[in-house]
Amino acid sequence: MLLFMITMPELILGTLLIFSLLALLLFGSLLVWDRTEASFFQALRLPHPMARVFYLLVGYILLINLALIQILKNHASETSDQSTLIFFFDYHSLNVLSFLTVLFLCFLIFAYYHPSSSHSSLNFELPLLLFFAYLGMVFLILNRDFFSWFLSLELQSFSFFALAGFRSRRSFLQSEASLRYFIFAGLASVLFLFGLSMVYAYYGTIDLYAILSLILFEEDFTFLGLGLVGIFLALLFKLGVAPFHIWLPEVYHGVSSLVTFFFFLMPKISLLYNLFIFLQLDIQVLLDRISFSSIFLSLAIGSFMAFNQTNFKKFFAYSSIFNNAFFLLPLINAKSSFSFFSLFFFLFSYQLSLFLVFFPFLFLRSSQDLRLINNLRDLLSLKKVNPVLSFIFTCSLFSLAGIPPFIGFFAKLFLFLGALDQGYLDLIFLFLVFSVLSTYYYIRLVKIIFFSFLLRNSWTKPLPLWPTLLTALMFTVLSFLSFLPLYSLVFSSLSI
Amino acid sequence: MILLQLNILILWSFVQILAVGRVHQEFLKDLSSLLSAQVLLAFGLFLKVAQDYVTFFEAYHLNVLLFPFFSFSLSLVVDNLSLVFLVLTGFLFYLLNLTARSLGYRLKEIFLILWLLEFLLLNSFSCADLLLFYILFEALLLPMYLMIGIWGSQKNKIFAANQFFLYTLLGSFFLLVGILLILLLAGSANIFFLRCFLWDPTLENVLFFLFFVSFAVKVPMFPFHLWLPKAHVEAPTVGSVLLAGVLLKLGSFGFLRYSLFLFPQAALSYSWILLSLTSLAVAYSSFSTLRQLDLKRLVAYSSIAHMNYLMGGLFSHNLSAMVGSLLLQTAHGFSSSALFLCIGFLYERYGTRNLFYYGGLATVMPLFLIFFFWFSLANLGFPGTMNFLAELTIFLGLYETYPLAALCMLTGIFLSALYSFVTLNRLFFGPYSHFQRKYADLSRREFLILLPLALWLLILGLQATSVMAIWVAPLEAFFLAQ
Repeated sequence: MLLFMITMPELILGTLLIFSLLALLLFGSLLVWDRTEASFFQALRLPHPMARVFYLLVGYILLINLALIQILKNHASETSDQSTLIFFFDYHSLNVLSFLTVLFLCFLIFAYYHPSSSHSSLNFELPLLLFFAYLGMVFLILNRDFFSWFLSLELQSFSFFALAGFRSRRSFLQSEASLRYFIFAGLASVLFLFGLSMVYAYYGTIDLYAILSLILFEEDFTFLGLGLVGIFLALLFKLGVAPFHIWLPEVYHGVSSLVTFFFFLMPKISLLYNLFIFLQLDIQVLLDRISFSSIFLSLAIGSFMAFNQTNFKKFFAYSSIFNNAFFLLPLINAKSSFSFFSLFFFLFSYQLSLFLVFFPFLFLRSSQDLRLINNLRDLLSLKKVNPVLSFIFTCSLFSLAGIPPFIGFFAKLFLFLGALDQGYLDLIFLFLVFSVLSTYYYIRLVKIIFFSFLLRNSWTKPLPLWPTLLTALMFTVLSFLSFLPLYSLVFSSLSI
Repeated sequence: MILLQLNILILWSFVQILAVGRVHQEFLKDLSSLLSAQVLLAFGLFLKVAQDYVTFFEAYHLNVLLFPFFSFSLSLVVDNLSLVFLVLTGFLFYLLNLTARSLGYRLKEIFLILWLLEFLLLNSFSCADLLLFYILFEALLLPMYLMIGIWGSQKNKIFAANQFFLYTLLGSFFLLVGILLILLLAGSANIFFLRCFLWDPTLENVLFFLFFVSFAVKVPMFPFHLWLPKAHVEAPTVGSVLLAGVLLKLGSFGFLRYSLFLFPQAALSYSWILLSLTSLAVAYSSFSTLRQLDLKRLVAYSSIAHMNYLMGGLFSHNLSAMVGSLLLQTAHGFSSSALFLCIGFLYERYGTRNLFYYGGLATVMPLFLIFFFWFSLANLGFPGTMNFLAELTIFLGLYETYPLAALCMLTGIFLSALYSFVTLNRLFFGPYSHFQRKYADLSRREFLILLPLALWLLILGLQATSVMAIWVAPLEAFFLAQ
């Protein structure tokens, strides 16, 4: 059995995930059938499960997946010799995969206790759609050739389209947002496919790692460059980098809160890893100008457009556009030794801060109409009602802004060190100036929470236990562990 | 050994305040005062230990390979130079804990902020590693922002707090770039290692400029001083005293310990422009004080003038001027804080800081008059106060090397006398203003807050040579490289 696993590892991973997904679908359909037809569960003397149990099941599958990844890590190799046809396991991709899985597990803890999951059992599809998206992301990280790359990108995108439109019969805004997302991202996928086909037309092979060695001898990029730039632009589009960011605020705004949170967290990991692998090709001369202009535009748009936002989803959408510039910075020269570590450490700190920042927006309810808070203004009297939460929120905002002593500062420190190593001093100045601008709107949130005298809102239900515990743990990591050598132990595995 | 114990003491006090329940307000006030007295005693022990040595140097190095690409040295160093700043911090925080008792709301939070700031300031004044210094330097901004915003008195406080935060942040981003360059080129940010490092002259100029911007915002020097009047006015008494007494010193300490220590050649070649800026700032801010109606804004502008005297002393390449500037840092820490405390007491009684509403207070608050008069004399540099000795030393030294700058700065002395006496006149003398319905002279708490400040200004004003002697040996090391 172990031999079987070692020789064809992707088979086990793939089959485990796909079969479990199908099993869950079957179970879900049983659930729905039980409501409409004669009772299946009653005949077997079983209690009728709620839709929430799907979160648990998906969580268990993820834990098994995580264990499998740890086992695979022992047998993974550093080089690309020992790899199979479709998937490519190496140390970095398995690390990123386990990061993705752990993040998804933390997200599931939030999702289990989110009010939108406590409805009738007909809504069992949300965890399954999330799992589909997770599958897409897993295969996106593990892919090797163009087919699997495109297919996994499409799997992820289609799952996202379905997630965006989930339960959209309630609001026109949501269905419009999901349709727009579909159209825009569909165009990007077409561009992606075009780029892939150009590269295939030039080289005749669909193996990315074969192209990596072939492209070193390339001088003339006129034909090939079209394909490579197409791929790069499509990936930037999916990430939401300016000037390809236009879909981002409206889609994130229209979609329901939990799904927005998912959109913020998860796709970045797989897309950034994909970009990182793609940029191992030595095509810096082609993509330099695109990278620099994207960085500059992301910084500018992310700073300026967030000043006037009142809706928290749009606000954080623009803040994520701003942070996308920071993600692009180590990717300018992705072959340097700093880039992988700084990119993923910044990603880690960004996700951590996002968890903490989204926590009040997902779980606090206004006492007047028991709705979840929607505007930034609704945080108005948080310091009176829940001062510890407001303190944690403030600290995570400052971590997003990059103020010491939080982890966000160290993440940006590494990014800037790596960029200075390459010699981009003026770019660093640009980043810092725009960071000051973006710090202003984070401070505005702190002002809303702390510096007011009126008690405008109050909150009724207590916060759920497990997300709160998770948030507290993350906050500890964010703040007090910044100085410990723990990071060097944890992240030494991430360095090349 | 005492430095680490001081850190632990401060952190433990923080935890103790955190553990007190919200309902026990009185206990909280007494606890905080007691704990700060304890910390002050520990600082006094420090001084006693240092007294026995001509050159006192105590260092704690903890070189940790924290990150995969460079080493981060948690080095804390106390020598004769930083000793006075630590003592000033401890002393002022003791007074602040007494002052903060009169804030009406959120007492626990203000004490927590005060202890956190004390911890951060203790470590910033004893850092020997640039990255650690940067982290602590920036980490100070968040508690100060909260302090100005939550306990500030007027609606303009939000704008002032934002401006303070963002201005200082932008300035210190230049420091970050400089530290990053140093890390990449030298591999370590420890200042004792970097002292022996030979820089390329262009690079040294660039690094000096980057460090200059960030410390110049903090000090504040001429083009970067705009945040200070607003921040001082909108902050509560506690915040103003902290800003004026300690945080401005952080800027000048940064110049002394990091800029002048690491880049002496660049400081020498740029000294003409630095002295021009300081002279300009002295003249400009001294003239500005004459037009102010808000008491705190007046003292804030005079703070700018005093800080620029001592910056002129620092850049003058003269031993006596540098010794004088260190003395003036201490003296300004005492006198400026004392003035802000006095104004705070007035504000608590009458609810306004506008000079028009006051008049004739001498008839009803004579004790307060004595203290305010003494502190105004200190502020203008009257003989007998520590400020006079400090300014005398600075001007004597400055005249040796840069006589024109000394002449320009002397205008500030004259103008400070002018505005001090005008303020005194308007506040205390003249007909009793009918806006002052009730009156109350200093309470025992306020008297005991102001008394040590007044006494120290007097004692050290008469005999400061023993204090100045401890700085001579470390400062001579600055001249060795030139």
